[in-house]
Amino acid sequence: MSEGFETISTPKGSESIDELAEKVFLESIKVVGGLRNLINYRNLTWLTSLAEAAYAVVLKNEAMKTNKQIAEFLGVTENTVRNILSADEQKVKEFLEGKLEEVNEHKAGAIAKLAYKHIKEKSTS
Amino acid sequence: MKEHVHVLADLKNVSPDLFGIPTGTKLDEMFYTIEEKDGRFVRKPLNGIPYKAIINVVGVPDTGKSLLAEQFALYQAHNDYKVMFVTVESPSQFLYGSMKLKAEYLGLDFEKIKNNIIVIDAALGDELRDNPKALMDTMAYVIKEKKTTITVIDSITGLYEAKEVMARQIVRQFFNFLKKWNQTGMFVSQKRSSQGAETAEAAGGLAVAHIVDGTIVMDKKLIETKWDINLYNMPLGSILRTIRIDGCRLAGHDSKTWVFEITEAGTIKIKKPLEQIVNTSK
Repeated sequence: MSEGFETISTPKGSESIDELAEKVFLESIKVVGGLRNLINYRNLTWLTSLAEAAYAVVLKNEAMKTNKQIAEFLGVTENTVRNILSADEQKVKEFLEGKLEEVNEHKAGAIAKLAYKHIKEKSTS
Repeated sequence: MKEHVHVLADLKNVSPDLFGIPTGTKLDEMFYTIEEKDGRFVRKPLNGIPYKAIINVVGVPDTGKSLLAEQFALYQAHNDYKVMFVTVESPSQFLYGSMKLKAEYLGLDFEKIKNNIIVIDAALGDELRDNPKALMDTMAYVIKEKKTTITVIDSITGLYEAKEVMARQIVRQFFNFLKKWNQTGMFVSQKRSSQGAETAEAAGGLAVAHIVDGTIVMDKKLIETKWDINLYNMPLGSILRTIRIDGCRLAGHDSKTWVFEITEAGTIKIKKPLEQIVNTSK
C-alpha cells in the first residue's frame, strides 16, 4: 500500500464475473418457465450450454472481452461464441411460447441474453 | 425515448458553466472563452481545462503525459479538491515518491495533497484492469464516499490492452461514466500505431479522439542532423519537446505548437511557441 495515499486495489461495490454469470444462469431458468418446465425440454446437455452462454454474455457485456478471449475462457470455438452472442432473442422467445415450431438460433445464447436484460432492468428500476 | 428529446431552450438549466480547472501549467492560458467588451468580442482565458471536460493526453512513450497528469492531480489536490487517480501502468507505491518530489519542487503543500488524492491501483492485479465494469463500480464507490470531482486515468490505453478492437467501446464507457458522475477528467493515452507521432489519431485510432471533449498531443524530437540544429537552434543530441491542443469541443483554444521542458523534478514547464524558436533565416 502507498504510504500516505489512500489506495484501493481490489474491486469495491461490484459483483464478480462468477457471481453475475450465476445470476444470469438462474434467471435463465425462470425465462424458460421455471425448473419444472425445464424437464419438458428433455435435454440435460443443455445445462452446460446455458452455463457457457451465461458466461459469454457476462464476459462480453461486463468485462468487454473479445470473442477470442471468451472462446479461450470457455474452451469453445470463436464461432460458438459468435452464435451465442448473436442469437435472436425474439425468435427464441416465440419458440418457447409455442408460437414457432423450430428456430435455427443458439437457444441457450438467446435465453441467457434475455436473462441478462431482465437482471439489468431490475437493477436500474 | 421521450427523455432523450430536448428543446434547445430547455437545456439552459442543465448546461454546465464554462470555467477553467487549473493544471498548474501554461495550458491554463491556452483554453479561452470569448466575451463582449466595448462592442467587440475578446478572448478571455479560461485559466484551466474546461470544467467537466474529459481531455485525452496522447503521445508516444516518454513525452511527459504521466508527468502532466500527475501535476494536474497535485495542483488540484493542493487547492483542496478531491482527486481520484486511477493508475493502470505504474503500481501505486511508485506514485507516492514521484508525486512528493514534484509537490516539493512546485512549492505545494504535500501534507494537504496526500489526503486529497485517492488512488485506485489497477496496475498489479487484473481484477480491475481487465474488468471495466468492476473498475467503474470501484470508481463510483470512491466518488460517492470521497466526493471526488477530478479523475485521472493513467493510462486509458492499459484498459484495452490486447483487445484494441474494443478501444472505442471502452473509452466511450469511461467517458460516459465520468460525465454521469460530473467529473473533470484526464485520460492518458499511449500512442503506438504507425500514425504520425504528432497526431492524435494513433491513440486508439481516429474514433477515440471523437469521443473525448478535447485532445492534448505531446511529442518529442531528437536533434540529430545539421538541419535540426540550424532550424531549432538546439545542440546535437538534445530533445525538442512539444505540446499542443488538438481540438476541444467545449472551449476555444490556442492551436499553436508550444515547446516545453521536463524539469529535474519531473514537472512540465511550457516555455514558448515553436514558431518563436525556429530559425527561419536563410
